[in-house]
Amino acid sequence: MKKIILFVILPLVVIITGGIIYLLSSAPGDMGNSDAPAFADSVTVELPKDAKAAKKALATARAALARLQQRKPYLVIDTHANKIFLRTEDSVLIEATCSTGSGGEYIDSTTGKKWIFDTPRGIFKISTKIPHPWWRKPDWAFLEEGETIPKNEGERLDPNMMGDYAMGFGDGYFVHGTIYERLLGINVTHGCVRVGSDDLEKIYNKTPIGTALYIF
Amino acid sequence: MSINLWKYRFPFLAVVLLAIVAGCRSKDSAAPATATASHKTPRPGQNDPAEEYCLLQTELKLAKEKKTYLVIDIPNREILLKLGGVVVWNDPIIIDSVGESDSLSKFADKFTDGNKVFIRPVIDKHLYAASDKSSDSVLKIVSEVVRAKIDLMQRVVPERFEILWGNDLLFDIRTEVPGKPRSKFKNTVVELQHALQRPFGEAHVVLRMNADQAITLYRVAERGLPTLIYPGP
Repeated sequence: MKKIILFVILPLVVIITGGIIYLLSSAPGDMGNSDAPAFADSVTVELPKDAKAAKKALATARAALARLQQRKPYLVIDTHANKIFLRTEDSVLIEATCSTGSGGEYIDSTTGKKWIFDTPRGIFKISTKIPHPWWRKPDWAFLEEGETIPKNEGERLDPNMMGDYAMGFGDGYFVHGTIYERLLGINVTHGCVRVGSDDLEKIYNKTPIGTALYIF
Repeated sequence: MSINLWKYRFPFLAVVLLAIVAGCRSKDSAAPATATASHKTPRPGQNDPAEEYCLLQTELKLAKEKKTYLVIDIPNREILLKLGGVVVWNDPIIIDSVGESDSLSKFADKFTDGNKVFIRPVIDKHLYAASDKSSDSVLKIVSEVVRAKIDLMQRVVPERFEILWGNDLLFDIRTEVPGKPRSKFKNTVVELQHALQRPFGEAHVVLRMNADQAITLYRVAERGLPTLIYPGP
């Protein structure tokens, strides 16, 4: 019987105990079990002890946060769900399906030049508004098709690809229309944001130059 | 020689209980406490100016980083994503019928640790079940046309997933979309972990969410995503 305790019951107790410890101490999620990243510079703040100074510090902090808020409607592009919104802090004015960057890449085998087809994330402003835009095909558009890059600038221009309207937000990126409306909702673009023609018209008409654009 | 096993029940139980307690302690001690108010901490809802100041400064710091951060707004029962201090996504907090009705206030108490901590990073997430947003056959055709990889274009629509913040804090989010389990074994292990941790104070909030909204939250909730809490009354 002692042998049974030594060789069967005791190992079982150890295994069960170990299993329980593992289950309790390991994070249950999908991202592995490494330590969570700590914020390098934690916010440790103290309100001034003097009542007047405390009131002023509080008012300054409130005002600083309030200044960040948008008074006018702003555009939001959700690259995860492929949605575009014209919204305020409290409500969504227009919601539409869009297509954003695929995240894919293309490397020119001759020159080694590399393009990554991602929609940039961050805070931008609508800097240009163009009705009936023509697309000036960049080099990758020819290389992807196995075509040579034309020397004649006119051969780069395509009057149909960008739909009826385009709104630029810097570095050659645009919110524009598309001839591939069936692909809306899928991450298929080279970085621009494609919107269906009806939704684009509504958004274009309600978005003056200078409108803030948030992409996440 | 015969031994009465019943005689050993207490040492056995003691070992198991010690293991459970040790496991819980090791996890608690690893919990990140980040933004802390260096003042005497009031209970939530007293609108202490020092507490508000700490919260404002923490959010200002996040806003200046110009990266997305999550906000759990307890008074307004809303989850928000903000970028540069501006709301870019929001969804109401709807407690699922399978969850405890007071689970949100328990969550807030545990998150803030008595109004000392207002920010914690996401440490993990687990996808129980999901369906694919687009069928692979459609994406195969699309990928040939646009020369993009299928896996970059595919989006999962979660049926159920959870977000973990450490310190036994988690949101268990469920949608109306039926999905396939990603790993039945992993799901069982995770559920077992929660069953073991719940008696030791795990703050488990079960939420109901629209599938479209859940796609965004699931994808944004990457490890390290700063999460701010507006504690409620």
